[in-house]
Amino acid sequence: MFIDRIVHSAALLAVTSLPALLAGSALAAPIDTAPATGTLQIWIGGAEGDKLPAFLADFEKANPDLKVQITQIPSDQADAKLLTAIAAGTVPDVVRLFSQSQASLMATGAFAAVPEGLVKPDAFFASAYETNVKDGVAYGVPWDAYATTFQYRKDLADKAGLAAPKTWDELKTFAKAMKTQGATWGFSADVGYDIYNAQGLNEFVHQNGGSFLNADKTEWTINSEANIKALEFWGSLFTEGLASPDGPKFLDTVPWFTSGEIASKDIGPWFEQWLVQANGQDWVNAKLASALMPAGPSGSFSALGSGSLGVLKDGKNPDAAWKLVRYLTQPDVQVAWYKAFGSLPAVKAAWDDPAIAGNPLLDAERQALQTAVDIPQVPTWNQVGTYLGQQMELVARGQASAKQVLDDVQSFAESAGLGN
Amino acid sequence: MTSEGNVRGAALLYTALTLVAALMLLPFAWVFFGAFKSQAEILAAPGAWLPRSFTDFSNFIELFERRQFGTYLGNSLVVSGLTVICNVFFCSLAGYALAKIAFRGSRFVFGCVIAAMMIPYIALFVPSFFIIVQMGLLNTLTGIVLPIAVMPIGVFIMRQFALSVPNELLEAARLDGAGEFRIFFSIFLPLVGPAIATVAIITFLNSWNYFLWPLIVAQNQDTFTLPVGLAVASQGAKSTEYGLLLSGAIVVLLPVLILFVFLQRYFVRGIAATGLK
Repeated sequence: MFIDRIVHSAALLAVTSLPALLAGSALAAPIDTAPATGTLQIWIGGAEGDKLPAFLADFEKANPDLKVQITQIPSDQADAKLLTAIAAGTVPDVVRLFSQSQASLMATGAFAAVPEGLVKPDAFFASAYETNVKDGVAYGVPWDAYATTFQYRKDLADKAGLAAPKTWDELKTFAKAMKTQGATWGFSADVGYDIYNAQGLNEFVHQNGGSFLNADKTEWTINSEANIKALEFWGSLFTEGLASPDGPKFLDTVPWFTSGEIASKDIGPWFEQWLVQANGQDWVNAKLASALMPAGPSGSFSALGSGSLGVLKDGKNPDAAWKLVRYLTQPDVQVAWYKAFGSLPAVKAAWDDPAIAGNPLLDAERQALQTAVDIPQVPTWNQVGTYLGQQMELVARGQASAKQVLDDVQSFAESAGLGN
Repeated sequence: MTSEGNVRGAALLYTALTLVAALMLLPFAWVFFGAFKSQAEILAAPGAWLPRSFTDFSNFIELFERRQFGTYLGNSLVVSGLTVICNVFFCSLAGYALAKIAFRGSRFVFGCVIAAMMIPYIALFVPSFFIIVQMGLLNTLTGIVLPIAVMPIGVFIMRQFALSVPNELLEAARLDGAGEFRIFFSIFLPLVGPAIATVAIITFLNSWNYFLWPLIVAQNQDTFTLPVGLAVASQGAKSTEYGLLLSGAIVVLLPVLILFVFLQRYFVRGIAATGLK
């Protein structure tokens, strides 16, 4: 949104012009195990904020002299609010960050480095942890994580005598077979032609051994040979009539999937809940299945989405903030939060709990999370990804070649820079 | 013959107008019906136009009992009420002074007002926020109202309208010994009623729908206004809570609708006079 961008730029300008904030310290003293005291301010999205107060009862019992204040923030405007607060130094202690948008917040230098020994990095899914790391230092701790999977109409696949496709070639065979089973389109990829489209392409790019950034994240490599091949494959799904370039868009996904207009989709774990709400649990048990994304020449990769907890340097109670972060990332607390709210744990050990391990629809999810790929964590991804998403429409509609589009996006990205 | 043609023409015209009006009202009808639907009903495929029950107020109950909508509604009424009162009072004072009192620099001041109208409010966002923080007004309703307490557009409207008030009336009062404030309250204000209504409506709508600024100034839910509260309440764990979103939209819409029914005349005049909605 245009307005967001102005607020962002203005706030960023104000922030980066404050040299005090730029002089980040990498010193992070360990956090003790004594009960936290004082007041702890948390800013969090509306949905979590509604459930969190009751959920934190145990934490408050263990820290009797601590007063927890939770403010619910609309997620889509959370960045504007936080950037303004960072600029003015009126920040809370803890905020929830989203992997899709946290790079520009991180770039302000307003977040404190994770204290030594607070958490074990290898307890988390690797890419979820990596999201918060800059120059070898972590500035946030993953709280929840999800990966997209290949979700399909089990009933139609059974009728065709097919299992979930394991490779790019099998995906095409599968999609064709679904059409003979009455599906209008065998597969469905994102067609919002926005930044999420680019995030979707990122999966195919990694499946083909490519990447949007070079290994040390210093240069855009959008028009590499591997990426062009990946976009060509993605485009062929549309031009060969296996997926529609027109839909479904967002809310239509449920009705299209229900009616069999689409038979499979690359989508996140929340899809199950959408379908349960619309069609009931029985329908989902009978007709929905989930598998790893079909592998390209370099393997199967999904898109990562992750929510992390960040502690602000200018917050008044960092000690209590880190103690909360440590508490929320304990495996048993992660399981309890999954049960209370449905967020999938970022801590690997939590996935052994029967509440999660017992859901067959989450098997693929768990596997996918091991290798899920993050978007490029640079502040300009917002512009570059948005532009890339728009231009992908030309390929889906056969109006431009993959090479033409990626050459164009590469030069756009080079002029935008990395924003670091 | 001609009259029959006229009747037929009129009938066609009204049919066309009714159809177009129905088309324009459809989205509103959908919002209204949706307010009584559960999430499952809204997501169902194929969806139905009408909710299963019009007496199922569970969305509204959820909003007011669990989601603090009472507080948000109260805050919104205070914010909009204060905004309207401040704007009507200060803008008419400024408009009167700029149009009817000759003082050095009056043209310059008016030029500044015009210039201020051209700056998008969003550009002043961060500086305004710094000022509010410095004044200690963070997380207060005053802090939300202050930057829009005197809108340049209000001053502009009042000044333009004030020009049409005959000087003779004001001079007669002056000859009779009335002071400037007496003239302002007893002579000027009663004559500029329509302009006041226009300013009141514009500033009410502006402050009622105000989203980004209250979101940033309010630091906890006790100072949220309706649009901010609605954005928060409609966020579900896995997807938007459409039932809550739509019923909340009805709560936000209702006061504006009621106002419109009673002040329709002034709405239309205000839009015609300023080209703004």
